[in-house]
Amino acid sequence: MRHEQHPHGPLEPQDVEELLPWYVTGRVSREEARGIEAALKTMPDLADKLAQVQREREAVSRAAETVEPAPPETLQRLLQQVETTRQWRVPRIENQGEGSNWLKGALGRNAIWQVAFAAACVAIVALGIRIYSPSAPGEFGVAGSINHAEGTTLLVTFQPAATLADVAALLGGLSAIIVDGPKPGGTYVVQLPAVQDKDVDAAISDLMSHRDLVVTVLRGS
Amino acid sequence: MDMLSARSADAAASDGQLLARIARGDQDAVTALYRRLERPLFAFLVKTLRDREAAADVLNETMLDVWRQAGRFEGKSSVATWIYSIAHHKAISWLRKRREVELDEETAAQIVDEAPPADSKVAAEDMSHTIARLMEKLSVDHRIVLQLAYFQEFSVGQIAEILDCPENTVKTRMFYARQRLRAMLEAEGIEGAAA
Repeated sequence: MRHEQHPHGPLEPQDVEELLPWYVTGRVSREEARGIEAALKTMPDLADKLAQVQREREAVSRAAETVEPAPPETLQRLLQQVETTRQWRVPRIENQGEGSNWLKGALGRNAIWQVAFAAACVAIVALGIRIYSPSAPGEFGVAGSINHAEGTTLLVTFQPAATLADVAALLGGLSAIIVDGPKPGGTYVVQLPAVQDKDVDAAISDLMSHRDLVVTVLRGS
Repeated sequence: MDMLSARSADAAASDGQLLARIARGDQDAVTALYRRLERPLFAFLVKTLRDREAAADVLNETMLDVWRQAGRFEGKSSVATWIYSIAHHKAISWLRKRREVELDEETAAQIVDEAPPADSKVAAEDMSHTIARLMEKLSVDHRIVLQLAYFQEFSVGQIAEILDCPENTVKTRMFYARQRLRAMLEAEGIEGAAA
């Protein structure tokens, strides 16, 4: 986003100085650039200030360029997590093509039915993971290695307007699964993987921060 | 499409096009966008957090959020601004968890000073290293604004979006960051620091 017009009209000397760091990177508007160039002709010490800004920029750039790349395993880990969360990251029903129209027709546009359907799907997948979970953790991939059996359960009430995709994405980000519900009042039982107590608090905070999706979160048993 | 042409298609795609593919669940687009942003974003995080391991974790979390939230991107800002905003938020959260935001100035003051004697002149080629070294002593807010403006080359408006603050705040932070830097250069007796 570039400034198309300086809000204060002609540039004051202080404005000129403030904009120098963006002038050297070409991130000022044409009008601002013209103002700075005009000031360079009339303000004798401005050229020195500009030179100082250029030295600073060069130093910052050099220092950043010498940072070694991220370890290759960072991308590998990301792709594993992407694969793991893919099953929870259900595409938005509204955006699907012909193939999903039957689903839309069957479920209607009521978001809560879509969430209930998601819960059923997720519970089936979770059951599948438990049934086929190998004795050696991780043998069947990252998804199977998430230990929900010893996890903490939460009672979560979603906003009526929350879509299936939003709920799935939200829970997927926490590696959480819906294991039961909806209960009276539209509450779902959500299970977190086996994590420490502070992580449960963090998960609750994370859920509660999505006020557009979540109404309440309570610790379960 | 073979792998080679798929890669060149990824390279030619705009950030917005890659993000749209990510929103549709395209994992190759995740890889392509990661490879495109990894170097500058990781450098930004390393300079912000001063911790490579944490920077890798935050990079990972940021890109995972991009994967999860791609469908929610509304195009009100550029894709890069949006992603840096996520990364900045996560980096600050990480620092808060480590209580380094409050201790930042104190920590910076404890960094071992490898400055040359005050009366020595710093050669032009050393100036860059000196500035970079002194920059490490700045507060996290000041380091971030310098990085975003000088290395990432974001505009004032984009930085304001990334930091979620008014544009005047961005300019003020830059002003004080540079003022502090000049003061440190002067303290080392470096000529031209007062410019």
